[in-house]
Order: sequence, then structure tokens, then C-alpha cells
Amino acid sequence: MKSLTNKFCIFLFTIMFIVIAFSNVFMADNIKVVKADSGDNEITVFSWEDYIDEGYDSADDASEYLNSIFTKDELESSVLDIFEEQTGVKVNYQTFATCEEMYNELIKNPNACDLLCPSEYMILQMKRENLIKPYQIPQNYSDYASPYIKTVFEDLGLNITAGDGSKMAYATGYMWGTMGLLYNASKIDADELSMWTNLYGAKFSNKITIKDSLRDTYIMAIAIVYEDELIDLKDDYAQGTITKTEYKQELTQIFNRTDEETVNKVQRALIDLKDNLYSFEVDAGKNDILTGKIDINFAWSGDAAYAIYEGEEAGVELGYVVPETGSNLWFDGWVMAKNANVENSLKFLDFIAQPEIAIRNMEYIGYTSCIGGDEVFNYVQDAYDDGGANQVDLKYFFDPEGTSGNSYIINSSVVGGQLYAQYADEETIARCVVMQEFQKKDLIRINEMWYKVKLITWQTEVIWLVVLGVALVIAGIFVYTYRSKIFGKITLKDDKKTNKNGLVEISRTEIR
Amino acid sequence: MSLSKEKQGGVKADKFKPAFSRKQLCIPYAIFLALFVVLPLFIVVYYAFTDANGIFTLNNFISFFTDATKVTTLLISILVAFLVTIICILIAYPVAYILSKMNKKIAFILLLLFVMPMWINFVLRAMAMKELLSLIGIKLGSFANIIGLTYDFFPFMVMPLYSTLIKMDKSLEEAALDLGASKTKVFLKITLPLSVPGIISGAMMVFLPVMSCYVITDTFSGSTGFTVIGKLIAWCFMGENGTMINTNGGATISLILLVIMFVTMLFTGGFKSDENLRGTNL
Repeated sequence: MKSLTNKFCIFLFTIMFIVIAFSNVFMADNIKVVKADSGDNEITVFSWEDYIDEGYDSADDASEYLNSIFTKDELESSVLDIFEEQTGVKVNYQTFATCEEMYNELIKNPNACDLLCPSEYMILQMKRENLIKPYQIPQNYSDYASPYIKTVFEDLGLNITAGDGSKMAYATGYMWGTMGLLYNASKIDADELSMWTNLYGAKFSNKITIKDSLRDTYIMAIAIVYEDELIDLKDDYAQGTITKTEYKQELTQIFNRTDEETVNKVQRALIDLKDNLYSFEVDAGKNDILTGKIDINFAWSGDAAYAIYEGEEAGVELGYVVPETGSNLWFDGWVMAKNANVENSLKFLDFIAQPEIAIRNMEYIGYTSCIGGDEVFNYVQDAYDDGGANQVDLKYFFDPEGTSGNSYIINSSVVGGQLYAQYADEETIARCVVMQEFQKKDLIRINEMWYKVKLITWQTEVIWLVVLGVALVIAGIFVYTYRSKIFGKITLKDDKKTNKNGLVEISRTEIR
Repeated sequence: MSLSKEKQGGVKADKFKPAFSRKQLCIPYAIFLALFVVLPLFIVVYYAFTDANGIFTLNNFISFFTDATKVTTLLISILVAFLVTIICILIAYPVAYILSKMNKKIAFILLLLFVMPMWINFVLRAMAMKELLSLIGIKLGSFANIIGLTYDFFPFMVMPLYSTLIKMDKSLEEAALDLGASKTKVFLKITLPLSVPGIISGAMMVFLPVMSCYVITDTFSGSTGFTVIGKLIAWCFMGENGTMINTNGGATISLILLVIMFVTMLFTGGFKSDENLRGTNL
């Protein structure tokens, strides 16, 4: 028995030794990992879940419009398959739930992928950390992408001019949108949600969900905390005291505040708001509002458009509103990893920027493509123009310079519906701003704030009390379990006695 | 004595001449163990004691234990795990007791009904339960969390209890009844003490997983409910949109949780090689 224990110990130590030796090997940074895209005709793409058309089961499921621009076979195969057929390049498509996961994967293995589709703040971070490289802007993108989107990307500093004078880009846009409130239109009027602070109202108690996502919720909290300032600013803009550009600059400055005082205010605002909420979510909101569990969902515009469409099918009237004081404008764009296969990646980017493919992706995922042009406008017109009285001018997106001479006006009978979620009007876009990446030192503080909002914090005295209690219980269990060892073995002693009736009576006592 | 046993073994081995010796048969498992159990453990320890640059530090632990929010979450996890275990015992014990006294065939079917939910993915079960709760009108929050956790871990308590009770020697109870003990006394003096191993192993199967089962609390906690320590670990490793990924911090919390589990096992006699406990404990 003893020798067996010894052998086991030796075995265990051997394993430990091997493991330690190995762990050094695994953790060494200079180990070259095999490139994911080992083949010449392959690229690896990191993206979000459900962020590309994966094909319809049957072409009959697709809309008439799609059927008119695609063949049956094309509709039944995924967009990626069409790409492979056209170019002979195979796409390894991997999806992630958050930008951070995508980023982590790239950090762990810089060769893991060729193309990524993160959000604007992550693009900026990756650019700063030198993880991505600029590339030649694909022809289709420069032909068809919305001039508005191009300007925004330019303003974010994502374009550079190469040595030979040609334009290069760190990122080209894929999808974009706003953040706002998706609400149940049969119970709530859009006017009731004109301010973010209205969410504190008792009427909406336990009927609201907000995003379980630090950045999105932070921007909402900023709008709550600095509401007075934002209203003043809006008034100034409405009266013409400040220009549109100044308004945008001021808004950007306010929404990107990360100083300690702001973070503390945000924390208090969110903790107060928590009591009025149903839950934090990232996916469940769409469904919960359809089933009637909640009436208001803080949503990305694409999700809102999708939910409104689903609501029409299910007979629930939903609406989308971007509160008056302003909100977030976000973009997801394609970036190229440092070690990417440029030729194949460019083929993919050129392919994905085709208007037909953009329409397909839009139709499939419900978000708004960064690709403009007449073909996309025709699609939007076909989907939303019912000759109604409400005129929505989309010139700012499709043709701000007015070069084509078209009007780009949609006549819709619905106000604040799916169209508004997909293509907000110019006035709404004017009060939405892009949120910059958090600086590292601020991020630590903001992270801490987020923990404190999401989790419960007890007073120090309460903590010590509970620790004491737990320790006592553990000690009690310990003593009970090993009672024989602690108090010694229990022996029983019987005393026999004959009582007056002549029966033997036994009394038993425990002796330690 | 031991010498003669070894001899016997030797003779037997000669007779049958198995293709592989016992040691050789252990090799695949040993490799598996080393690669997927021991190695990851070392990696966790490595990350827990280093900072982002790979330099030895104790700061991870210091920053965990000085952060009131994180410590509170840890304590809440322990308390909740304890509470859920107690509730599970209180509900599962009568069930297991009644089942063990029943006709075996009927008991089997009933037991199947209790265990069947375990065959369905637990995330799905949690979602279904959430719908049910909203139908009844119970708000999401800490109370819903407790219900969800209890519901999900209940089968893990019934099974060990039932198997202990069914294996118990019935003649002991009969003897006690014959000797004039009341039914209550029989239960308290014989059935209950003999089923303690079942209670302990059931408690182990409930207490330890509850502390890290954040999928349930994510589903049920709404905006105000508590969250268990597992959520913190997930947070550190996966991040949410916008939060930082902190592998070292995550490894630290994992290690702390591991130590707590080890201590729990130690204190509840999980490692005791008692004859009664064999087969029922982890």
C-alpha cells in the first residue's frame, strides 16, 4: 500500500514536471502559430453572429424584390458561397459575440484572420495598436458607398493618402445605425419618450430593458446626466445661434466625457435607473417586447427595424424613437489584419460592397448598409414608399451634393416606424454622435463603475458580519464532521438495574 | 496478509495473460488528465500570480479582496449556494424518501419524471422557466433567481438521496419498529443518519456548481437581482461590449473559487475514504 502511494507521488511529480516544462513552451511569445489561412485561395473573416446573408431555405421565402435581382439558386446559397463561386476564394467565417472577443483572438494570434468587422471604437483601438493595415479602397466601395459614410470615416481619421497619391483606408463601412428606444406603440406615445430621463417614469416601471453593454449604456447615461446642457444646446441649434458643425462638435465633446465626476454621476444615474428596469440584455429585448413582457427596449436601430417588422407579422405595433437630446451613432467596418492576404481580402471587400449584395445583407439582418447608390435607394423605395403624406428626405445619405439630380424622398404613411429605424432623417442624425474609444486610464475607472452598477455592493460592516457568519458555519460543519477525532471515540456504558417488578431496566450513558 | 494477496494476484495474472497490463491501460487516462486537468490548472495558477506583462505579483489577489463589490459577490454566491442547497434538501428528501418506499416500478417512472428535465439543455430549461414565471406573475430578481437555481439543480439532489435510501438496509428500520420505536424516532435515529452520505454528495453536487452557474442568474436576475461569482470570471475572460478583458484577474477569481471548493470538500468530509461514503460522494 505504502509503495503504491510513493509510486503515485512520483508519477504525479513527473506529470507536474512535464507540465511545467510544457507550460513554459506554451506561454513563450516567440512561438510561431500556424497561419489560419494556410491555403492560397482562402481567407478568414471575423464577424458578428448573423451578420451576413446565409441563404434562404427556399427562394420563395425571400422577398419579391430579392427574387427580381437574384436567381433562385443564388438566393438559396449563402452570400459567401456566391463569392467563392465567382472568385474561387474560400471564406472561413467565424463569428463572435463581442468586439472584445474578436480583439482578443487577434491579439493571441495575429495570423488568425485576414478581415474583421468590429465597431468604430474597436477599429480606432486596433489602428492605434497597429494591428491593422490600410488598404486600397475597393472599386465598388468608392463607386457605391454613401458619401455621408465616407465623410464620417474620413472624419474619424481612417483614411490616408499613400505615397503615390492614391487613397487608402484603414476601414470601409459595412453597417451603421443609431441607438434609440424601441417601444410598444399601442401603449406608449412617441412624445412620452422624447427625453431619456422619461425612462425614470413610474408608468414604465419594470417595463424597460437596456443594453448589457458598457459603451451603449454609458452614452445613454451621459444623455441623462447632462440633459439640461443638451437641451440648451439643442435650443441654440434650433434658433440658429450655433451652426450644425458647432452643434455636432459640442455634442461630441459632451458624449465623450470620461472624467471622474462624469463617471460618478453616470454610476448614480444608472443605479437609480436600475430599479425601474426589467433587465439588462443584448439579445432578449426584441423577443420580450413582442411577447409583451416589456414596453420599451433600448435598441440598436437594426434590431429595432427587425423587431418592428416581426411585430407587424405578429400583430404588435412597435415604434422606434431617438430622444431629442441626442444619442449614439455607430458604425461597423471592415478592417484588414496586419498579416492578411491582401489580394484575396480586397476581392472580398469589393464583392461585399456591391449594391445587390448590400441589399441582400440588409434584407437578411435588418441593419442598414453603408452602401448607397440608386440601386439601394430603389430597394428602400420599394420597401417603404406607399405614397403616404410623411415625406422622408434621404438626400443626406444617398446624394448630399445633389449630383445625380434625383430627389431621394420617400413618401411613407408611417411615422417613426421601420423606415425611421433603418434610415433616420437628417434631423435625427444631426443629434447623434460617434463615441470615441475610452482611454486606457479612463477605461479602468469606467469598468469599475460598470461592475458597481451591475453587481451588488455591501457596506464593509455587513461584509465582515457575513464573513464571520460563514466562518462560524464552516467551523461548525468541520467540528461535526470530525467530532470523533476531536472529542475522542464515544463509548457506551450500560447500567442494568432490576426494578421492583422484577424486570431488567437498562440505562445507557455516553462516555468520551 | 498483503504479501499473500500480491502473490494471488500474480498467479491470476499469469493465468489469464491479459493483452495490456493495468498500468498500460491507465496511460490514455493519465495523458488526458495531464493535458486537460493538470496543465490547465497550472496555467490558471500562472496567470493568477502574474500581471499582464508576465511578472510575478500578488496584486491580483489584493485587488480582489480590497474591492467591496467583488467580495460582496463572492459572499452572495456562498450564501446563495448554501440557501439553494438547503431548499433542495428540504424538497428532495421527502421525495426521495417516498420514492424509496414505493413499488419499484412506479418509483422508477416517477424518478424518471424528476430526472427527465436533466436531459434537456439547461439553458433551454431556464428560458422556459422564465416564461413560466412571467406567466405566474413573479418578477425577475433575486427571488426568481433562487427559484431558477433550485429548479435547475433539484435533480442533482434527488438522485444521490434516492440511491442512498434505496440501498439502505430495511431490516434496521424494521428491527427498530419491532423494538418499539415510534416512526418519528426510527426516521431520526436510523434513516436520517444512514442517509447522511447521500445528503453530503447531493449537497456537493448542488453547492459547488451553483456558485459558478451564472447563466441562470443572467436569465432570472432582471436588473436588480444578484449575480454569482461565475459571472465575474466570465466577465474577465470574455468581456462585454466595451469592458476590458483581464485574463489575470479572471484566473485569480477562478483560483479563489477552486480553493473555496477544495476547502468545502475537506470540511464536509468529501475526501474521507469511509466505507459508507464510497460511490456516493464525488
